[in-house]
Amino acid sequence: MAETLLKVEGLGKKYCKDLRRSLHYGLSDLCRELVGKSTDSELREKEFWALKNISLTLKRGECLGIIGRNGAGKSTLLKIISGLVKPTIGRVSVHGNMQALIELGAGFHPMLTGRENILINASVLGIQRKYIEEKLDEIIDFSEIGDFIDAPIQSYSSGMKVRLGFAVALHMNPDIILIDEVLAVGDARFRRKAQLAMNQFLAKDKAVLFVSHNMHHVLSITDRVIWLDSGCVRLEGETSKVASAYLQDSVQHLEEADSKNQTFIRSNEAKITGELRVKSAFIDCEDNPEGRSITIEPNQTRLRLIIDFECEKNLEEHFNHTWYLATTAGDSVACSVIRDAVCVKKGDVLRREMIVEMPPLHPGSFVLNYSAIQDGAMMFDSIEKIFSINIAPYSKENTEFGMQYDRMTQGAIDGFGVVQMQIKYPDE
Amino acid sequence: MEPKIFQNKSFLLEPKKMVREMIHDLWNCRHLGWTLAVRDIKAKYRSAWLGLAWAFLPPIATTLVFVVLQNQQMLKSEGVEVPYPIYTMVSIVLWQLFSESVVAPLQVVNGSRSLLSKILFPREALVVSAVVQVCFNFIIKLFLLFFVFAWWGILPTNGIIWLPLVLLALLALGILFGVLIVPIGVFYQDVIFSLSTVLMLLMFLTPVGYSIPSEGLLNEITQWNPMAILIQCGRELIFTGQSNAFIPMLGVGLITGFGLALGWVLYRATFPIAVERFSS
Repeated sequence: MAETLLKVEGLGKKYCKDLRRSLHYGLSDLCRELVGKSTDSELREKEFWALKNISLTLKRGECLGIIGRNGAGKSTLLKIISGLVKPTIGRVSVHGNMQALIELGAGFHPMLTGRENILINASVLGIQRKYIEEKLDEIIDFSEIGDFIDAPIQSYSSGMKVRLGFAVALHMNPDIILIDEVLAVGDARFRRKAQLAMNQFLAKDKAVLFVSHNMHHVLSITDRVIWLDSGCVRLEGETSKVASAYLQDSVQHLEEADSKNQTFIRSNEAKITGELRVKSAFIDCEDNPEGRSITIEPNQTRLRLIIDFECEKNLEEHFNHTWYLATTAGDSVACSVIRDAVCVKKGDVLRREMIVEMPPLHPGSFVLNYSAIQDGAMMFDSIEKIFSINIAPYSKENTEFGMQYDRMTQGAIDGFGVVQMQIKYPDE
Repeated sequence: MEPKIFQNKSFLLEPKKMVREMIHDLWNCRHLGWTLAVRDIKAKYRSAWLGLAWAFLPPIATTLVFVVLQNQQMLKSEGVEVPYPIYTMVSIVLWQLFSESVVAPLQVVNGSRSLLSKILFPREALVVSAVVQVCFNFIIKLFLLFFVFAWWGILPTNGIIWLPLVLLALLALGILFGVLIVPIGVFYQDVIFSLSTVLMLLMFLTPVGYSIPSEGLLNEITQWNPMAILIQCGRELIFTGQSNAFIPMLGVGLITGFGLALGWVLYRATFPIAVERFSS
């Protein structure tokens, strides 16, 4: 049985929404503290519970994740555990040396040089000065700052500051480390470096508490996850179990938003001629209960997309169906074009059914944007987020490698594109 | 290793543990306090074109004001046996040691808000940093005083060997006031807004640019004004070698010491409560 390093029991914290009242409560809490009383555990006017009845334990060699939407209380929990803020009820006991990495480069002064700031940051983090002076070259090397190390850090890019801060933070030697999304900043190369460093840290039989709303980060390093929802523990357990429930929940949220917004959002309005308009769209099958969104396993390689068009005038023309696969944040992942021709009369309804080959995707939410592009850069129509596709998380039985192997045996190619298109008329 | 416990329980309930932690933290924060002070001093003077000159320009300016006022017979300086500019400059340098100590703790605390809300370091480090910065400014002003004494060809008396006691008392008294306003100052900006006005008023109530009147309201006030006692004592030790205010000075110093211990407890109690209100 591994040693318990961190234990949180029945933790609760209340906050006040109103600034003036909050300051007033602050002074009165201080007075209570000075006469040896604890703060009231009843809610006063305009107060609310930011955290309620949270319990957790963290053992040596374990990596515990905390996920939840913005405002779920993740950062508040971290602040209480790190001792910055007192809990209203409950208690936190910490065995061993703990470091909170809530911000990289704490104490940096913009006027001073990188070298001077390394020493300041190390001091603030409680790293021995002698130790850090010995490791100075190593830190500068790791941060990849180069000659800029003797320039004031106000001339640094934000990425450089983060790298410098991280290089220093690596030299702390705590038993428990609390990390609050600091890894989310910086470019891909830095993130990989940071991840590697974390894995090495865990290998040394330490403990990590990792707070994030980014599922990918949580999935890749944690063993166990606690899902916070408006200050309460919604679910706790093995990463894959909690992650899939969390994802399911966000999908539901998205769908609720979708169902409120069944109409199409058109982009590039200025270029749309509207001679052929998208009337309705289905994913998978015509009576898909989820409408325009679908949740698939990561090893599913093909999707069926159906689009009905309405003709506004007589047409005899060639055009291109263009599909863009993007993340929900709007970053493009891939695109695909297929040529088509129409010969229709005004008022006709036209159906296209396409089989789309999906690239291997990590669990998460993606969208498809669609444009019907005419020759000469004008468009019949252009719809943003016409379909949303959610990739279910991996599980113990369905690991990343297993899924990829599955895809291979299905003869999947690693590309994105329409592999088959059928022309149909809905009335047929 | 003893586990650290965080819970909603006043730390005053366990006084032994509290004192142990206070001493532990004070000892552990010395490097950090020094580092933060060096950071602030470097950053301050590196971005100023006149650099270190800013450490002694203010006392020179204030002295000039007093010299002009005295010249126009608006200030009384009876019984002053040394040249008036020296007399005032010594008083002003002593006064500024006090007034800077009052301002520094709150200034450093407010300047470290983001640090306070993100990292748990011994909060005493901020006061140590404030003390170091005040001392640094004072030492620069001492050079100014050496220069002024040499210019007028005046030698301080033997009483100067007791001067460090006065300086320590002035610093401690200033830091005590400074630490006492931190708990209110972190919640309400009013403290910062009013501080310079209040200090200005206090300076005029303290015989900085004039000698203590022998009777009247101001005489009454000065008798009970700890700053007046300390400055009077310091001035007399430098210029005459002995002071009637020596024993009262020791008394003020002693009371200040006790006050600082209480202020320290108040200061420590402030942080967890204040941090949750300015954390982002």
